[in-house]
Amino acid sequence: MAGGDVRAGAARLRPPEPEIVLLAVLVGITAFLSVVPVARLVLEAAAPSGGGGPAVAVLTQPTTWVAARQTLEVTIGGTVVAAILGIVMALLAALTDVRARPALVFGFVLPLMIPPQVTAIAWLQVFGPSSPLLKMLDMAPPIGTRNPLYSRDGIILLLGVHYAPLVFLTLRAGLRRLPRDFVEAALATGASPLRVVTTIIMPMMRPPLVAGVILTTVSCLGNFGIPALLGIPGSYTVLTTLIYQRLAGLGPSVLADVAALSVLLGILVLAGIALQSWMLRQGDYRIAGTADEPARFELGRWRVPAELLGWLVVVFTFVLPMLAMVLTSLVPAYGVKLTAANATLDNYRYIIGAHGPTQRAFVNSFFLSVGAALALVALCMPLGYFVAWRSNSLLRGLSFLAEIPYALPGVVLAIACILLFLRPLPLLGFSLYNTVWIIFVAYLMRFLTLVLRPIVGAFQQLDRSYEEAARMSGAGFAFRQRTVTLPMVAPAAAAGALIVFLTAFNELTVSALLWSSGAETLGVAVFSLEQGGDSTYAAALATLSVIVTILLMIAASALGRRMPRGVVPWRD
Amino acid sequence: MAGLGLERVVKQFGSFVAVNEVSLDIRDGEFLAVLGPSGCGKTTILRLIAGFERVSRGTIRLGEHVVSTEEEHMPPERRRVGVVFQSYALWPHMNVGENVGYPLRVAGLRREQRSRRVAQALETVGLTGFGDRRPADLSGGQRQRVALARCLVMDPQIVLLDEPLANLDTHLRGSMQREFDEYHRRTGTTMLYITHDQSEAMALADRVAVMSQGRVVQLAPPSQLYREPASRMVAEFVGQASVVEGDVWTAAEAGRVRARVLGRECLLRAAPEQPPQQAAAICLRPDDVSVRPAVAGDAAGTGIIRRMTYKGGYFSLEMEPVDAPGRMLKLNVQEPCSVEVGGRLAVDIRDGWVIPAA
Repeated sequence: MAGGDVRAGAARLRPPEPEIVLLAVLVGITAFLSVVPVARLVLEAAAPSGGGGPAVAVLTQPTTWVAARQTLEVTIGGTVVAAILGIVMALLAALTDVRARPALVFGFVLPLMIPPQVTAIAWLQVFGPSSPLLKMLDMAPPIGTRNPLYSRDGIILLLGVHYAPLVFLTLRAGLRRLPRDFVEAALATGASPLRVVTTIIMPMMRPPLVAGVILTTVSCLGNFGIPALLGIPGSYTVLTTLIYQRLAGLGPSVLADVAALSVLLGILVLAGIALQSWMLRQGDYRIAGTADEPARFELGRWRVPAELLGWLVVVFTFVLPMLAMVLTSLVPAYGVKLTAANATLDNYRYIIGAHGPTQRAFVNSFFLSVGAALALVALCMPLGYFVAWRSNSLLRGLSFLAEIPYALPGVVLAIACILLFLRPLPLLGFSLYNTVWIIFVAYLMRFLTLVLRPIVGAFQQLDRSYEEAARMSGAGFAFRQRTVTLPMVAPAAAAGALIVFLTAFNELTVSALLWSSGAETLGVAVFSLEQGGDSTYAAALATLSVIVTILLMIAASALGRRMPRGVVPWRD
Repeated sequence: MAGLGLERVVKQFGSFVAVNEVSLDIRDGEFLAVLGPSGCGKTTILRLIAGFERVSRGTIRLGEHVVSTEEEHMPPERRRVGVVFQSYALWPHMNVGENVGYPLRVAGLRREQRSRRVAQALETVGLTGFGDRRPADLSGGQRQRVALARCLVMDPQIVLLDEPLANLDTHLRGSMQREFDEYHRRTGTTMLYITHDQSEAMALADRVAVMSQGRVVQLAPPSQLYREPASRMVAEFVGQASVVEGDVWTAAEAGRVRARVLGRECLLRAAPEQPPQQAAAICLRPDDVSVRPAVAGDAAGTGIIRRMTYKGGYFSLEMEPVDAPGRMLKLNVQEPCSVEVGGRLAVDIRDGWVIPAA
């Protein structure tokens, strides 16, 4: 006879001890990664570390307000460009019968997966006097001409192109959930397709559209790579680059100043998020029914022009800049016209074989991103179980807070990390600052939600009877986690880990403020090469990182087939 | 194998009382069905017995052991209670053999022993040779059997089945019913079967507990449930029945009373303690009533046909009696017949049951 009497003392009212201990450890780590940095910033806003003097002073300086105004200019401009591009492409890809749709979607989403500093480097090679493309066409402007991208409009264009996929992906996801009945009901009343789009579809799509646009706005506010590579040479400063320049120029002595600036930037971002939730509370957007068959229009004779339009956008936003960048990486010296005869791989040889900082950066970025991905999977698999299946208000609050370090601009998170880790750690007596570990911790904070979200989603989609069947079979907590629940969410965890790896491997914004000699990252290496005028080396390194990115995206797509919908963002 | 006892079990979710003072005693080896409409608390009962939920009040006893009280709760993994889930809950990342062998793996059995017992269990459910298949490659009925085999290998004290046929095609249900029946007879396992389908419950169970709004309203063998429903709800939920008002004139004598129903005098079955009663609720099954064409002068005991449905070989009729306007009396009329909607028939009441006053 298995099992005994509960009165024999084996069973308790409380859950078994190992669960409690595990849960406490998970909550402790998660709180450290999500609550602590946010709390430190809030503290900074309430009681500035400079005692109020310099911090308040920086907010009264005209440069601060010029940077703030220019931040808003490029943010609004970039959002408008991204929204127009994203909406047109989403309507095309989700609502019409254009052919080769998966390829079109993949091609349009690629710029988002490529780090912003690489986007900037690639686009810089399209224009300007040294553009290999223009030189081949003998259309290059004379030497000494300023690259037109070194300007506000250049930043707006690139932000728009870079973040258009955000609008595209959210709107497309919404369109795919729109049941065909709504569209057919409107068509049956005699409305033309165009009228259906404007009077039925777009109004119903307000929530995803608002979400995508606000996400773009917040991303533009916090972007560093594009305004750094385009704005610093063009003397067009935004808040992120102002913080960077202050800190890079003067070091931690200006910490109070930059902390005040990051609080200002953080407040702008939170205002954007608040605006979104306010806008989404207006009106009722619940959609009844499921979209087994999403709505779709036949384009007829307009299909070929529509396909052309779609692919032209992909060519201009992705293929052309990437081509320019690859060509630049092949020229023997910057500004030389590229021919079949003088094309060379010397730039690659140099950065891989001879350039110490880049070699270190490869190693650092690889271990940082793999380490962060694995550590987050180890944390989030059990944490996701508790969040999804044993939810209480503490865990719900925690999983919400875990989103904030990701939603905040990377620069702001980096400042929070400096504030936290500049002084030696209590008890341990050494400081993380100026080591690679501060970047590692910052990555854990920033990317926590990228792993937690898909795992929680996978648990929520999982029938709880799977676990109950293991319980009735006699399996204890640890055993059934190991044999039943964790294997079932493993694909989602793998996808999350892959996205973390993809993002962290090329990450610049956080590490730009946290790196130190010996602790360079790949993003920093590309950025420094371009800033130092070594455009050919920068292009070569950027090309390599794009190749790695695409390979990883393909791997993620393959994994995505075994995964709940929506885990891999660009897949159906 | 063991019996099961629930004693005044209450389960509350917030302010909602899902299970209200339920007491059940299931004998060792018995097949008991819990029958009720959705939301009546029957699945909560199963989850309480399996240990997935804690009782708010009351006691659950499994064999000689108390497993659930207000203060103490034996976790499901220690109860040795087998559950066949409605969704089957076969783990997709394991093959059939691994699914079935899982409880043995938990128990720490060696591989050879495991594979022998898995093979035995698969043979019992008629799936010999299916061990290497994936659950996704099986039909609904086969998955059902795998889930049953998984329970079987753990030699459970009791097997709980949660609407096991709900996800199957109609034609599969019959064969799975036979399967359960056979399994029960062969193994003698105590079984608790949750269903909302009265024909399943009647066909399989030794006794049926009918639940409504968190309470057990009647616990009886199927034929007693059908012939002597304890309440209007049971009468209407189990089998086709019309509940009409009638006046009981005499106290029960040898299980019979004299009564007037729909303007007709008749003899009805009744509980021994049934007193004379005005406006008692009378349960009439379609076979309790015979009809003939109404002739002129027949006023009492006639009705108008409101609906006719052909059932193959006979018609199912709904008749509105002139003595009880607004009520519908369900009747069956053999084919061929000359009845039409709107026509008038006279009824004779041959049998019926006086539902005891609550």
